[in-house]
Amino acid sequence: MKVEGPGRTRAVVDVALSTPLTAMTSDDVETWYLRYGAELRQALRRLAPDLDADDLLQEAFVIALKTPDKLARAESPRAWLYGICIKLAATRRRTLRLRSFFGLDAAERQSSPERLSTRLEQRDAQRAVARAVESLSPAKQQAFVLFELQGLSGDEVASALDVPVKTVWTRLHHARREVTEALERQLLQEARTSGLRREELEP
Amino acid sequence: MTPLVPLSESATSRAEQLVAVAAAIPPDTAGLPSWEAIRRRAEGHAEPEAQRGGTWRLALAFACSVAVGVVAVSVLRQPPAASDTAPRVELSSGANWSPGTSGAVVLHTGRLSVSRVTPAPIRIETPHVVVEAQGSRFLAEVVASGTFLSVDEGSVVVRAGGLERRLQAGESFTWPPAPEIPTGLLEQPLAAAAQTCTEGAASTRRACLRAEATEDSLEAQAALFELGSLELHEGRPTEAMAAWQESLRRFGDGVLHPEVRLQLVVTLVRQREFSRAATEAKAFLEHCPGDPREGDVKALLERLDRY
Repeated sequence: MKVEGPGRTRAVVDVALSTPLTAMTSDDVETWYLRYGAELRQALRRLAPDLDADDLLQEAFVIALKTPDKLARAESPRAWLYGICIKLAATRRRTLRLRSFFGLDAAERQSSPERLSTRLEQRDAQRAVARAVESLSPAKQQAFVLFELQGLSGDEVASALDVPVKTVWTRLHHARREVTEALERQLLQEARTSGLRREELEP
Repeated sequence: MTPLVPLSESATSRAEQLVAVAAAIPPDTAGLPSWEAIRRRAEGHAEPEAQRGGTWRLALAFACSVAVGVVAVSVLRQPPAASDTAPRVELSSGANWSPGTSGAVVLHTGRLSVSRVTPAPIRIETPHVVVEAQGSRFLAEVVASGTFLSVDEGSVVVRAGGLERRLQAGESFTWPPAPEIPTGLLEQPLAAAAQTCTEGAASTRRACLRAEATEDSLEAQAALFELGSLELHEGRPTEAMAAWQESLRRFGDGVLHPEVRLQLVVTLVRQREFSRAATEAKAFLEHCPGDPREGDVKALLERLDRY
């Protein structure tokens, strides 16, 4: 069942492939890639703009190809794939920090940024939200990006992050407050520099 | 803790509406790594780590358009039966190209990659360079300010400006080179940092500087200047220049405006945005007459005018 929202689709129930556990093939994994590859890359770019999202995406599906049984057993393959991506990003960051510490070349080739929407409103929103999100702790950032921006359900976020659902709601509650506060500061600053009076900001 | 409804479905305030708008942006499918590249990587025939936008993967025959909006062309030097030995040339969506003489590919703008090693030779011509390769994989990108080349496997010969150079795997090359920036413009400006925003991670410092920058004071000028420096150091030149532009909008006659203008010029040159750099250099000369660095800026402007 899917809930159609304005401009996007939120999958409430992830329909698993009707493939026997032992028969998951690379073609099946490819199906998941075609279905979720772009959105996983979008999530990686939002969660780790300093890393190479294309490379991490490839690595995630290499893992899926090598462990198809885990993907098949996952209650939500989508959530499982998100979880893999998040873990890979964290590992890559640790590796880069170590290399930097030892004075090795830690320069990560950044993939090109998500192509900015041609709509000005979306472009501005994307930038503003990215700035607000980057100030969150990793745990809150992951919960916020997955739930609010990527459209995963609470259960899927819990599965992806391997935490109880209650923990997801707690993190989201705090993340939402911090993000909206950060956005309100940005809006206020922009209003000041553009000459708007304070009362014009009020709805 | 009760379950939450996503902000995309429940936004009330303007801040929440921003999140809803951002959430509605569909994922970008352009340049998504190909499945075959992933499969080969899993089998141990790893593609090199994605460079400048990731691994490209298309292969088309002449004059083929693909529904996903990516156009690729296969340069054929053999009859169709031998097409598996032809180089695989892939072009990004929006690339402007045309066939040249003797089977060359003329790339006017956009990105092109040769993603399969074959014995067949290939020649690529751009407004800036000529590339000849055989048995190699490489990426070429043409923008207004020049051509960028990156070699993944094998080697390529590039000819530009009367010079010839062989690039090996792992090497990259940009032509024309950016103009040399006079050393007088590269000296670090006096530390004008907001003293209270020097501790912590970049995100903490960023938030601190933004808070400092909301006032209407010298400290706010300093905070915006330092914010730009921080963003640049963090590899975010667009955000850096936005902070400096804001500084000029709000404090165009402020104490720090010459330093801000110079930072903009230098950053734009390094980003290879030569036209904008020239505009900012002229603005510096107009707004900072008699500045000791005037001569250096004029020298840089002369170099930029050649591009």
